Amino acid sequence: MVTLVTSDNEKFNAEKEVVERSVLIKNMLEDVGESDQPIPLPMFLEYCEHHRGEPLPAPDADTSQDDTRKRTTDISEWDQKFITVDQEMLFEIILAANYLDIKSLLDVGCKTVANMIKGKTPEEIRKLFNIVNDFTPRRRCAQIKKENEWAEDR
Amino acid sequence: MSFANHDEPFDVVTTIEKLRTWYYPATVGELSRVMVTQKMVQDDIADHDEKLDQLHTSYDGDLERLLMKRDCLSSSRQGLIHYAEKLSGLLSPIRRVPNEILCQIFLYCCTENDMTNGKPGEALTLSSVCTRFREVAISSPALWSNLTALFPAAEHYDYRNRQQETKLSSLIQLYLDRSKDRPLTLDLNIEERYHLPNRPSLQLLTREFNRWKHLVLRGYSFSTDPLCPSRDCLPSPSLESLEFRYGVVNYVLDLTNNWKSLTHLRYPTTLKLDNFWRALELCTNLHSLTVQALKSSSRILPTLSSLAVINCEFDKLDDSLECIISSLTTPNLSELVLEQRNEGAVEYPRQSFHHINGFFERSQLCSLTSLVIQGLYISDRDMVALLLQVSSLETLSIHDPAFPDLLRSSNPISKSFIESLHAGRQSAFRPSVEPLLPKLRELTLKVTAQGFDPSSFVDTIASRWLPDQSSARELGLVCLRSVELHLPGTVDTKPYELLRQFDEAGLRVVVKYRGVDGYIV
Repeated sequence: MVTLVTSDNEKFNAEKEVVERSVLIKNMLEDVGESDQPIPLPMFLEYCEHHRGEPLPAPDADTSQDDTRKRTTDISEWDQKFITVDQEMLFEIILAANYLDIKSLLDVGCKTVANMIKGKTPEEIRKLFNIVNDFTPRRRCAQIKKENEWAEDR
Repeated sequence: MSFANHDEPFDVVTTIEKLRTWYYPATVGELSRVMVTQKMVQDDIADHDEKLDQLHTSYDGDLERLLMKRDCLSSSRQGLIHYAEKLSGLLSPIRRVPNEILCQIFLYCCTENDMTNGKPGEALTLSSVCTRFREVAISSPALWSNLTALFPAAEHYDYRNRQQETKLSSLIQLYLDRSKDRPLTLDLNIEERYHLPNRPSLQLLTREFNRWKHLVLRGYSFSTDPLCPSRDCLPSPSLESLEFRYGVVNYVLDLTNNWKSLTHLRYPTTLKLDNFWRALELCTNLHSLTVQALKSSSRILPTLSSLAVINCEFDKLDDSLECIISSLTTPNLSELVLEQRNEGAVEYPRQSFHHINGFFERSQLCSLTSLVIQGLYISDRDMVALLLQVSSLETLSIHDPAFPDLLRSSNPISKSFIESLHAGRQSAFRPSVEPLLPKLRELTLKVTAQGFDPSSFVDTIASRWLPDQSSARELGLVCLRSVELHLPGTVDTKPYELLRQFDEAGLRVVVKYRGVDGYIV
């Protein structure tokens, strides 16, 4: 068993097999060895518990820029249910998955954000994520307008 | 009425009364008094005018000052609003995401870059959001390397068509430039009667045929239009996947070319089959094949690891799915999809179990780990008989036919079928004590018929939830890790409540009926 301690000092016990879905924890455990020392980490046990035993994806699988054909934004039903959270939490999950090196969870997060973006105009994307349109220099604005002429004129 | 400026106020009342009579000043003195009074009144008016002018001047000055103050405040307020927006933008959660993750998100967004119907493609949209998005997008050529374009039908090369063509060309050129030298993934739909001379937009893509890595061709023109430049480009040297989608008729594969790089092929209906079989033999590295219809003729495909057979149109006399599976032998298959699309079918296609069973027996699918059977009219008993032959299976997905068999004799998902998956019990279809599909980790069932039996389902799932590895080993089973059940309509949720405890314990459970919020578990 491994003890995980959250930033607010809550402790969770989890099986090694479960937490080793995080490559970061896996490497830490390998470096530290069997130890009773708690490891301070955010809580992602639920996801890892539900994906226990699944083969870990290859480091460059699916996200490799070399092959974009295989890249789909399909998310399994359970993962969709898991990731149905507010935007703040969604990005928390993405950042934590990145830090903990849980590739499958990072992919689920990235796909969810991609699905939110797809089909939207730049203005809708700005509104969705509270992004400021910072294209102030006149020349840059004109360039972007010209690039988008194709869509605007139709 | 009186006027305060004078010691002796004007007698307006008397004057009005006099006006109502025949009065006229009779004496010089009276006349003079009236005239003096009149003069005084006019002087007073002049005096008032002067004072009013002074007031107006003062008022205008004050008003101007106030207006200036108001404008100043408004402008300052607007500035503060913009500043607050910028500050709020600084706190946007997406800003916390580092550029490499943002790029990953963008890669998922830009799998198609749909330019059909005037859309600019996701990469261009993303690059128009803000400076940071633009920098990330432009510095990632992979985002620009997928293109989905429609070349619409146009009989006349008129001004409008020429203008559209110019714009599409500019857009494609922009994508090609920004994708630098990355391999291209193209999904091209050339509508029939596309006869614009020169077609610069298409030529831009053809010029880059050395970069084609994945190609999807839609529409008739690629097969019939001699003007189509892409005919001479196939297979391009680095082409790994080639998909012909609906409507391609009698495309003749050029067998003199090198097809060895091809690992993925999707072939449509009604093609010249001899040519197809010969081409298939040249595709010595083919791993994945999707076919929609072929005539019977036995072929062994030893390298194939993934096969999808999709039957779109049912012909009573010529069930293409049957034809394909009775002609192929694929001993190293790891993924298999057998799909019958029945949308709008008047008559139900009855897939012959014997053909499918023969394919399973012939191929000895001992490496098969994933099986999807969708929309096939196979009885529950026959389905169990098929599954008994694929003990290596880890993922199973069965979808009932779209139109459920009212007699329920040809729907695979039944109470007896579910009971056959039970880890410990024998069933009518499975007399052996050995569990069916001992390596099953993921199960998806999509039910279309009413009257699904929840208790046998919950019971079976419970029997296969074996988180304790020693118990699992003892039973010769792998623990089920994921289960999805899709039901056709609103159901009593109570029998499924028991599954929540498995979900909480780590089994991925989804039970839902149709609708946005149809989750039961």
